[in-house]
Amino acid sequence: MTPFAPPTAPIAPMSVALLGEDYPGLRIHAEVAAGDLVRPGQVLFRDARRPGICFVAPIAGRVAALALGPRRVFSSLVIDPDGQAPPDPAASPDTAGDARALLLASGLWPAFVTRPFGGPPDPDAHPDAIIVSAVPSSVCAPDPADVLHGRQAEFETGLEALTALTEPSDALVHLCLVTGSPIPVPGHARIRVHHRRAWGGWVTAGGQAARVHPMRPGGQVWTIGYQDVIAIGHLLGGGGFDPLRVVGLGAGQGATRRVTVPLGADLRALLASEPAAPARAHPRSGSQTHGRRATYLGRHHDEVGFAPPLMAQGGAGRQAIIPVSGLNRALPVDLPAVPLMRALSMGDAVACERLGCLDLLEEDVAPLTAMCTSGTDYGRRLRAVLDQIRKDAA
Amino acid sequence: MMAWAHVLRGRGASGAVMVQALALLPPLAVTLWLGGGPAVLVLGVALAVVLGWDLVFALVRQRSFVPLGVTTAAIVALFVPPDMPIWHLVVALTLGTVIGERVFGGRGFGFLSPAAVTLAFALVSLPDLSLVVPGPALALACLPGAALLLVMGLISLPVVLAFSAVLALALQVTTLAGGTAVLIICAAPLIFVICEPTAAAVTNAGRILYGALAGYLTWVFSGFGTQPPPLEALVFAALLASLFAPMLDHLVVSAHLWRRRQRHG
Repeated sequence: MTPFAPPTAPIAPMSVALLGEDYPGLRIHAEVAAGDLVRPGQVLFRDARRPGICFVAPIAGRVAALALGPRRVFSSLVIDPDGQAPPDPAASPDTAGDARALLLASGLWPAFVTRPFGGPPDPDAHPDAIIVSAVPSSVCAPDPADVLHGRQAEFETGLEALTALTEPSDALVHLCLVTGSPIPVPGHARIRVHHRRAWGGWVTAGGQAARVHPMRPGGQVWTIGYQDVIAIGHLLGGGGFDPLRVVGLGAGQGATRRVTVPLGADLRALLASEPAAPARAHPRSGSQTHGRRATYLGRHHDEVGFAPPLMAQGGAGRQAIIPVSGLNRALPVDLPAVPLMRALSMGDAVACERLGCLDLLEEDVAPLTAMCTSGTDYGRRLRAVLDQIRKDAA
Repeated sequence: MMAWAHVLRGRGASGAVMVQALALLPPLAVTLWLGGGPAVLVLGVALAVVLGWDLVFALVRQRSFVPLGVTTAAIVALFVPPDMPIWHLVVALTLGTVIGERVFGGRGFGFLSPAAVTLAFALVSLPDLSLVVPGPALALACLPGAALLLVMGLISLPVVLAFSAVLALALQVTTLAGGTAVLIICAAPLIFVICEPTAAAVTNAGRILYGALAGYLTWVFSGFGTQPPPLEALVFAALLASLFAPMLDHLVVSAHLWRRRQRHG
């Protein structure tokens, strides 16, 4: 537990980016082009398949680059801060309307992650459950109780808005907390609170989803972080789009500090001033076990640090899988790890689905990649298998 | 424990084999010390045979040469008598390493311990062969290696515990001295043959079943007695248990999937 200290003021203006890794397989209709000035909350692009979902600028600045990857899948959009005034004042969205329409219009909809398959949910979808994670992903992540200090009212407003999203079904909103967390529990019939020790799978959204609401075949569960719930409350309270997030900066040697940065902040700038930076280290977004090498802060991450040298990207994966004993504990969900790894490395979508890979997203299998002797990138294999399953089902 | 497993990341079987070879050094030193010149010759021949086959398969399959067979040679050298005819050793090791490992694509792609296959083949084909019974010195020398393998995740504790518990029950071990006598014989085969990660089961429950099955089969092959098991019984138990390991895993996964379906209605 870090001792309480108010979040530091937003540090010097830095570049931000929206990353394709957070929205796998997303194809977009761009509404801005490289070189355009944007204001915070301005729509940058929309999901080409589901135009209701828009993605907005976290900061005022100039669009530096919009990159598409293979098969014209969205890769990244970088915004550099710019001294010039924004083109026009932000028209504050009408907060009176439907919560769903408001979230879609304001650009907060991509805060949700759908399981299975990942990415933001369909605009008209109804989840079986919404899982709000207020569990720090590791000791380096900020303590939710500290972040919520003074913003409890917004958090509760946000939670109530989530219950509205589940209507007309009787789906519940599950709030996941650490045992002994001082966060006040809202008394709402549709909000269920779960306390567990920050241990094993409980620190990841995948583990929380598997424990509080195991997925039914054909069902879907949405997960969202507590800071995004605060942002929803902020929006509903008339405060507009809140792009700032508190992240823990763990540069190793146990020293952790907390900074308030815009979504998608440039990690190189953020970590450049770290005195404990290891030589030639690459920034990491997310926790030590579930994070990834990254240059910009991931949409759903609240801690950053340096990647261990072994946290490499990709891998041929032609080598043998030696079933070392730690693998069975590495997944946040109770699944047979080694049979799943074999099925994933072969790309056997039928076996993967049978073994329960629909419960998993890339971040959940990151520990397997970090431990496996074969050098296989299981996140990438899992994405390929999930895409295959989705295509077969369609 | 996870921090250590990361060391093996992306190295294929060679990282694991390197750790296993390190763990085998102390017991091998004891064997060579006790056996003298003939034991050194056995080890040399064994190494030459397995590395030769590694080289042949590397050339034929156009892969890089990785000396994965060193652990097979070392384990076999622990147990075969120093006066074993050289050509017996060559034939047994050839069959063990080719049939038990190489035809499947090498370490980590098969489902048997090549050392167990070698020893079982030698025992079946050569009725006069009697393996060296491990003494207390060898058992003691296995302990540092066992600790290393355990830390690296290359030994599964459930396998060790299930094996020991079932064997102790079957042999009706009641005294500390009796338990020690059994442990001295079982230590090296248990650590280096039965616990070989590529030959054992891979699911949690499967590992318990695998260890229990190996312990039970050891008792069966030692003639349902109450004496410490002969080494031959351990070798055949290890081989038969690893033949059953994929089936045990399959049963465990099926049970897991059945439970999942029940839960989801």
